[in-house]
Amino acid sequence: MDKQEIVSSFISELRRGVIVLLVLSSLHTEQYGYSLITEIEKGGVSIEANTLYPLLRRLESQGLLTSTWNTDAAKPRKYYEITDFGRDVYETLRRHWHSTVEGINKILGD
Amino acid sequence: MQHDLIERYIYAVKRGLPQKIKADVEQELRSHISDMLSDRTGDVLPTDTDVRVVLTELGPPKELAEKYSPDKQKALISGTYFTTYKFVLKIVALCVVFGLLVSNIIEIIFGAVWYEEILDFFASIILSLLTSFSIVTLIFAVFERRGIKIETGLGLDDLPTVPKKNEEIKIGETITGIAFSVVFCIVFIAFPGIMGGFFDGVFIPLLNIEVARSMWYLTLAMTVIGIAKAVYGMHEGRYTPALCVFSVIADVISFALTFVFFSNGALINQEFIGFLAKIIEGDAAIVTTIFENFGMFMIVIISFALVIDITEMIVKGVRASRA
Repeated sequence: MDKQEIVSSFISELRRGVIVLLVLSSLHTEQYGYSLITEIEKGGVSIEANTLYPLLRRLESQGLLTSTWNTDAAKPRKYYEITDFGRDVYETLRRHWHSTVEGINKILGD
Repeated sequence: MQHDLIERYIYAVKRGLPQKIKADVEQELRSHISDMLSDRTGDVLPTDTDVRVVLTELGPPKELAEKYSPDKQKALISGTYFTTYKFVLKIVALCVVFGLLVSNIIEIIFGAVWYEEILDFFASIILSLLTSFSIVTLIFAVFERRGIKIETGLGLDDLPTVPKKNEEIKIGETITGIAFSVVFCIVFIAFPGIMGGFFDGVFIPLLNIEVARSMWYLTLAMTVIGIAKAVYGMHEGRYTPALCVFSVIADVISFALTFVFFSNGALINQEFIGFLAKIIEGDAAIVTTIFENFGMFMIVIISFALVIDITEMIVKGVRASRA
């Protein structure tokens, strides 16, 4: 899948797109599922586990993330890290978000 | 942590998951549940109530499992192919019924008992329809999995051109292709005795019926290929390069199957040859020779037809890829 296809599909599903944005944004550091939920919730958005985990899996299959199992600590955890491609997509999405919101606000403001 | 409810929950989720990801999802889910409980109770051992609250928050196991399956795997034969699928089923059903009807009527004409034939007809109908429906379903499931993706979001310039009237694969061509394949199948499996001759008022079949029937898998394979080719053609609507490549491959496989079928030494009914030799003599002995080597004769004829078809496909394919 090339970047164009991915960006188009995200843009057309606005709600799911917002969550993707938040998840990618939170992955500036390595995270595991539960820590992601906690961090996103700190920003005031609640995301359910049954949405997040399948989403992380999907993002990984699209090449935006990689995952590794950390078995060193007491509890084994699956950590997710954003890829360069993921960062690239995130930046494009972010710009699109801002311009969309600006446009929406203009419409809504009138 | 070990807890009966947690185990049962995870087991329920696993049952709804695709095989490949079961182990991984289980581990991740356990780790998540463990974190949820730690958050709730800290170092204190979670109680039954705690576990229940956490599992309820996760939602019904079936819903969780369903979200792991990508949408495109949900239907065996989805929207775009489904209408075509129904259409092909109708044609195949009609051909099967018609084919069996005709073969049973012919058997009545040749002296079979009529009520036996009617019973035979109804008995064969159900099995034949079931078999043919399964084959058609299988063909379409394969097309769905490996098939032509319908592009969304194409630019206007990328839209395929409208085929000229003489470039189009008309629906009549598709129907003929499917009908021919199905009738061919029925004849060679249900009624291989259809070819033969009358000697002294007794009908002797050309082919050895048991032998022809024993190679039913070859006949079936050729039928499947024939139907797949017709359906693919109908879907494309014109001779695209992909369709042409597919047709060439299909033709080559058909040739191999035909070759095996007709090179079976036991196929020709020697009784027929014997009767024929008795009544044909002298210059016409060549006719006997032809029938003796009927198998080779058929292979040559079919090869001819296939070579012509392959050449046509190659020409059309090259033309289409240049356009």
